[in-house]
Amino acid sequence: MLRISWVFRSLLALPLVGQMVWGADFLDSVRIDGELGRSMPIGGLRDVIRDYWFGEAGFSYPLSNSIRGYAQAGYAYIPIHNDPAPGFRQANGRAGLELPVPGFERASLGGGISLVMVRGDHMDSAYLSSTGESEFGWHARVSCLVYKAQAYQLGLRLHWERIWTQPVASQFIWAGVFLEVTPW
Amino acid sequence: MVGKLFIPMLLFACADSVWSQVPAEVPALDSVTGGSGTRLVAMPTYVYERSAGSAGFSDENSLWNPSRSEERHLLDRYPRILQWQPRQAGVWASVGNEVGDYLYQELRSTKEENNRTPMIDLGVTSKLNTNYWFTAQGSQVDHFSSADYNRRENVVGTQSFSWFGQNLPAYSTLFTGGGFQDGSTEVNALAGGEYVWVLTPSQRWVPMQILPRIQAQASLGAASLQMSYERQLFSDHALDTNGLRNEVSATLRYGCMGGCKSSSLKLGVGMTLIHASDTGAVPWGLPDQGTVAWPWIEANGKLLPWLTWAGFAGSNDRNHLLRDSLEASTYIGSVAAMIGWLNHWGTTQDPLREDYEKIGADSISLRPAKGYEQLQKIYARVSSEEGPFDWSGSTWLWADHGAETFAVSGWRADDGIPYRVGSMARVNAWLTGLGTSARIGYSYQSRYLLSAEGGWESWRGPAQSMDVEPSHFWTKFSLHCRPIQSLEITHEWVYRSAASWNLRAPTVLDVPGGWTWNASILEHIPFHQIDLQATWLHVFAPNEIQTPSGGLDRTRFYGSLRKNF
Repeated sequence: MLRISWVFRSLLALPLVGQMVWGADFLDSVRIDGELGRSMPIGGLRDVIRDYWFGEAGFSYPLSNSIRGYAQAGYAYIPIHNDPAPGFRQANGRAGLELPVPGFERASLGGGISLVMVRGDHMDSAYLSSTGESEFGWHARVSCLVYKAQAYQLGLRLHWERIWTQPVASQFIWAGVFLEVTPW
Repeated sequence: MVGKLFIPMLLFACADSVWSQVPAEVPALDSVTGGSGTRLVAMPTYVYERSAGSAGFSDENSLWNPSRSEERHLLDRYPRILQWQPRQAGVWASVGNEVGDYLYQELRSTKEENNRTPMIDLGVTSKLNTNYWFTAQGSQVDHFSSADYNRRENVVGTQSFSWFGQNLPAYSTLFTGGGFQDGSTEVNALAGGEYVWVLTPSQRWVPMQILPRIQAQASLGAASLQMSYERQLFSDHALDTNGLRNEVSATLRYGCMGGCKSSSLKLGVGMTLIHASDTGAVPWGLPDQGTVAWPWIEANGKLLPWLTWAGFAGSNDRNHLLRDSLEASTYIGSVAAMIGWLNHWGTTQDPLREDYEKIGADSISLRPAKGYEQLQKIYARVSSEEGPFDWSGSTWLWADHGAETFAVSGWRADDGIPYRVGSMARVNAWLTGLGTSARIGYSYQSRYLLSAEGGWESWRGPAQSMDVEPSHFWTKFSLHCRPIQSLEITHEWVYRSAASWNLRAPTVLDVPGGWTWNASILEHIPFHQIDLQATWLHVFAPNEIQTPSGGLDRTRFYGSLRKNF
């Protein structure tokens, strides 16, 4: 209980910290969001990688009247086929721009840069075992609001992501549910 | 206030953005990715650079001038990437990679190539109050580190010759320090350590661990003093040898070169002293039991309202060097016109160069050959701005006799990698060149900037006697746009024609010409001056080796964050 209480108190302190760090303008315009969902590889990677759950957290901010910038970071555990080792861990980050679809403001289209870092779950697995690897890529995304209250927005989001690996690029589809909050 | 400063520092960092071109991973490499003329990279510590309009074929990173005496000198070069400087106040972080790691694809394909190599550049420069500042920086660009990798690994006996990772990068630097500034009085000191690979005149990569390095600088009015101390460790695991050098260098400079408004002629004097104490297997050495003293004078001023003269001269018991230029400027209507003459005479272009390089039983003399080099250049430039257009054009003609080069007496091999032996020599014949370049720019509402530029140069004489025969032709097209206030996009197409390395490989290495595309997107997050940037370099261009014993130049991407204070 004590721990939960401290987490709760810390959350209450966030507006204060935000105001101290960024100032009032930022507080009026920034939104934070969390996303949970399922991701699946496309193409030949389906033979070696299973679908996996992911969790993401991020924020967005206005760059103009319509365009918003966003940043997102998350974690996933990726199980694989045909290996005694169960899989590997992945941390990812994204940054990009998003704008509403004209005439249908609930939906927005976006795109940007992706970064993934992966590391084998066991030191004795035959791949990605020692120090891990990272690579950049890009993504496109579409978000659609399903429920909208004053400070909360609930929606569905779909990412198509292409990581610049060799000998061929690696592609994934991410489908998730997001909760967006205007906290202050 | 502390919260305002440090929480963003933890969350965000940055990129120095120079919007005349797409920025490189670190500012020291900006000229390499988008500069005019010929730029050939072995690894970031060894770059051959010759800007358009230069006279002779010398590498700019080996040319001494009075300002160079305040820069860091290693063996026979002033490597830009190893200069320690506090950057603009802010906190920054850049991370990048050569595109094409295997990652998930390791699960379904045989790994036929090594993974690509990353880069990281982090730092903070902060004003503590009006007069005091503090900086801490770390930088390591692992790109190009495929250069002679197996041999280099055998030399250091490990893959971990750097602060981070296992790629044997050309340099890996960490330093911190602070300073005080009040008007014309400035004092600062920086200290840190680094791992460096140096490409020697014999064409071998030599590892150095420099710990500590201390650099201090003091300026009081017209006088300035720069001092540095380095403890350099040389270990060759393959040969089981160790060497240690303790090197102290100091440059004292006095003169009001920039600030004497009352005088039309500005004079200055300076002195550089380097002393090295070597024990064990140090692979090179200074003359006169490890001491070099290099005094010089410098001057510039207006002889007439339209006639400017500038130059410097230095001399000691081994070398003499004089370089000066005379420029006449006028306006023809709205067109600014200038014609100039450059005169160079000297025994060497780098009087601070080491005296010899040792490789086992072989010794290579780096002492300038007898005689001297004389180089003359006449040049002219016109430029104008008319409405949204700006344009410029220039032409130059030069003649060089006695240029320094290397006389190869033979080739040996170290771990299968060839290296040369011989000594410094002169090209006792005239090498002459004629070149021209032009640029046109167009600006639309200051939101769209287009420019096209190009240059061409031809030469006659024994070009094949020089280390590098540079490119004859280069061109660049760039577009910079700001579609909304907080977003900037810059991209450029750059072409360089073929160049060749004549003396640094057993057979001539031709570097093919070709196009490359660089692009960058900069997002100004509209609170607290945070910049977020994504940059692609060397795109749509082949992976190529540009220098003997050099690494592959590959497509690269990096992202950076900067918060200005």
